[in-house]
Amino acid sequence: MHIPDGYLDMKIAILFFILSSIVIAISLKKIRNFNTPLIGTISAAIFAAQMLNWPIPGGTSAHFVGGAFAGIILGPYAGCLAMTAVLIIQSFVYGDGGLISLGANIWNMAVVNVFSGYLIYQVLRKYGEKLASFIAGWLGITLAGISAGIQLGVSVSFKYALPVAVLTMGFWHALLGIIEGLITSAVVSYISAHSPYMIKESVDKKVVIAIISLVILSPIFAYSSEMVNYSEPLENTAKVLGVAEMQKYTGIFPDYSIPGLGYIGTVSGIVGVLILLLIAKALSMRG
Amino acid sequence: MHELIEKTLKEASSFFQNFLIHEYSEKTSLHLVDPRLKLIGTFLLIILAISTFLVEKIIVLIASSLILVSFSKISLRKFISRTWLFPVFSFIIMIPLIIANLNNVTYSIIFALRVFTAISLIQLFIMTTKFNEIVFALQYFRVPKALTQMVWITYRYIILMFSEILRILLAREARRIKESSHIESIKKAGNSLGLFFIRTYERAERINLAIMARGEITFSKKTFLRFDAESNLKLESEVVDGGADEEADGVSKLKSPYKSERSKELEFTLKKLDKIYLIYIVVTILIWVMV
Repeated sequence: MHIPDGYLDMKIAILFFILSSIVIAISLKKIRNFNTPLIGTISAAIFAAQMLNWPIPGGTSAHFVGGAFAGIILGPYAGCLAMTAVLIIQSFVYGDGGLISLGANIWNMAVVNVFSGYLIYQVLRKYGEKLASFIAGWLGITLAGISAGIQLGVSVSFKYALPVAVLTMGFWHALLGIIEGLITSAVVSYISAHSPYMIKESVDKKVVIAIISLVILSPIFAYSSEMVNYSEPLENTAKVLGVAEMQKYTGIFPDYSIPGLGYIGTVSGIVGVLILLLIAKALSMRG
Repeated sequence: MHELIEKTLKEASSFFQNFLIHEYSEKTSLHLVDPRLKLIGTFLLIILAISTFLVEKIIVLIASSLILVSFSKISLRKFISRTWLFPVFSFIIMIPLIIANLNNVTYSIIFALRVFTAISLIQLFIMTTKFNEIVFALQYFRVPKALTQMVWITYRYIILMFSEILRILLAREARRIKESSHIESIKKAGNSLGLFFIRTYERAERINLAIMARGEITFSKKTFLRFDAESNLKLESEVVDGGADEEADGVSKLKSPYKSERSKELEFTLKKLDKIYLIYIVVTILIWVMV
């Protein structure tokens, strides 16, 4: 679910950077400072658990994400921070997920997944530990997938329409989420049977509700920011400088209004890239 | 459960190869550029890459990153092997659009090229910057210290945590006497995962108390967490060994002054490298604007 750079429009990426920063700031305020090593160590454990490669009937495999799980055992704020730490390391060490889209990735996996997982677990807890944690794990990851689908669908750079993106992402994550739910349920029921003190009882409800409503409203923010007539600031500067008469922002993909011409440009572009690769190869062989 | 362990080990070996990429990639001139400059430069160039759909501009950026690759003498094969997957994937998911309308071919190719540019810029940054330097740069740019400290502790404990989880899984597998179905193995592995998290929680509390007892968590605005590159390397190997010492030793090293590889004799030329890098980024941006 890690969205790489280039998929999202810049304004969507920036919007979700801001939204995630708000939630992270609230979370940092809510946890006490001296708990940071504890959260750091547990997020290392979540990282290690994500490395497990669960075989699925049919030959493929799935991964544990652990957002809902982090929310259940650490509470939503610490869980959100733990997942943020995991995502920052994934993007800065592994290159999983982009730098500009880091905000959106944090929003999906450290905010939507953790807070919704926590809330679902707390609400359904009276019907049984196993059921509650299964639904929290499954629905948490599905909602995160849907949120990613909304971000992608609203973005103009990603040409698929909003319903297509949301349905595809939602469907796949609902399917893979079954494994996530099963693992979450097995882990949480084991922990609640053997050391129940680990599971956080409850936190200040008002703030959680405020953040959840932010989550629910975020698609509207995204949609309205896309509606605002806006073009990229750098291209504006270029226009002001008068160096770029070619690229007036006339529509979604103004450069392809003459398909033939655009096509030739692309082919020559690819040839150019290949030549550059060869030159770079030659240069690096010299070294 | 043996399938789980087998697949995980395969996955983990490739993961740790990536994880320790800065350790085994050769020291290049790009390694010596200030991490803060590199972070800003990478950020700016990625913003340029994702704010355009013009082929010429994207080619400028690809050329720029490839020139950096060849002048910093990173192995091109390693570089491509770390960047090819996502662009190809991006092109594949656009195939339905192409089938619907042939005019979308251009769009799909440019989309994939954009992704390739962004990913190669990130990889260039990752392959030439150690993680302690990245955390230092993040801290310099006012990312809250509580968060950077958390990230740093996470990074340091990953290897220990992985060896712990593998130990638990192997012990369970060694005691298994009959074949188990998929659901059963998920249940069993889930239980071992639960055990793993309980142990981790206890260990985390010990670490936390040890750090608190030494009074090391202070968040005044003036003190930076600074890292010593050499002692970090030592720390990593201690973490792999495991044992009780790492709780006691671990975080005290965070306070040692930031040195990195810049030794004093080389100071002058290194500053020159910083300048060259800066000029390089500015020139790239100018060409991008003018194309």
